[in-house]
Amino acid sequence: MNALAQSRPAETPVAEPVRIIVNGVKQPLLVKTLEDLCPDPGAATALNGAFIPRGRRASVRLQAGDNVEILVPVQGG
Amino acid sequence: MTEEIALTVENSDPLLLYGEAFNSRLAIGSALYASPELMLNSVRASKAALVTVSLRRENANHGGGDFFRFIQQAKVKFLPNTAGCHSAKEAVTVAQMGREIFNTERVKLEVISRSGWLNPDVHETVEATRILLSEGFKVYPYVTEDLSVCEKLAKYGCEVVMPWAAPIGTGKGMLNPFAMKALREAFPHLALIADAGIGAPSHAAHVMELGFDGVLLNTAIAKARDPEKMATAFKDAVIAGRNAYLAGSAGESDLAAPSTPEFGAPFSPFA
Repeated sequence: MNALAQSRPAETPVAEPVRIIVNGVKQPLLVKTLEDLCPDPGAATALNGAFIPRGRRASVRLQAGDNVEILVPVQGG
Repeated sequence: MTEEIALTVENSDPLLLYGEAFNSRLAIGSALYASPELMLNSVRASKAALVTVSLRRENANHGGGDFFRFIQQAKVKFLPNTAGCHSAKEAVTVAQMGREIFNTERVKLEVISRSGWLNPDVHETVEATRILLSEGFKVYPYVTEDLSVCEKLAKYGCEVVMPWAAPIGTGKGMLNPFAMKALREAFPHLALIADAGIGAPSHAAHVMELGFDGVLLNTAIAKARDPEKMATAFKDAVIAGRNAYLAGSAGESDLAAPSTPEFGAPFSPFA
């Protein structure tokens, strides 16, 4: 890694609102964890394409740019 | 009494899928019904072994919890699908989500290639099957009627394969009986379920007569004028086709052959 890359700020600049994507919709991040975002035990969650089991949601801290899917049961063929 | 007799007869020939025994060889979908009540009544009338269900985004007004509570009244076994997935990665994630929601290892694995045909992407399906089997899933992959695909799936330990009869929702019946027959002959120990394209009870019977282990359909029942009656018709057709297969067909001939004895025919010039 060169000196320039190392000097880059690791975090998104404070001025920018922190946003995440939930079910395809961009929205401000107003909660800390995935459990805060989806407390519903009847829904299943995935973060950035990977399944997050119900029991792990509380330990997953959401970050800027995260892509969350929250799915519920529906009829299917 | 009749019910009891019928059940005993069916029990002597259960459908085995990953070691799980089913009394019925029919699986149906829960989608496309005009009302939840019609769906529930049709599921009951079909006496289906399995009912397919799915997952969709929470914000799309599906009322997930309501649907799940409602369909649980039918007291059926669920087969969650991965409908709408276009890659192995997506399908694996949705399968994992479905396992948590529906509390079952079963998954109807659907990885679709092109939207106009809804044809299975067999490469992605094979890859997703490999991953899901290694994670303990009971995978029911929706594939084309291709021998080599079946071969790969079997190699990975897949015990159930679901080749399409025709594209989803077309209701055309078996488009390639030759290939379906070849699958049956090549894989006598795989459970083969014809999935999709079954438009009429006669189509279901036809597949079963070839020795398929089961049939899965949705549209033909859900979109019938009387879905409940059609569900009963499919139930009966699957039983008829299965019995015909077990009975062994007399075959066909290009020459006519009389059924009544020729010897002693009246007005014959011969004694």
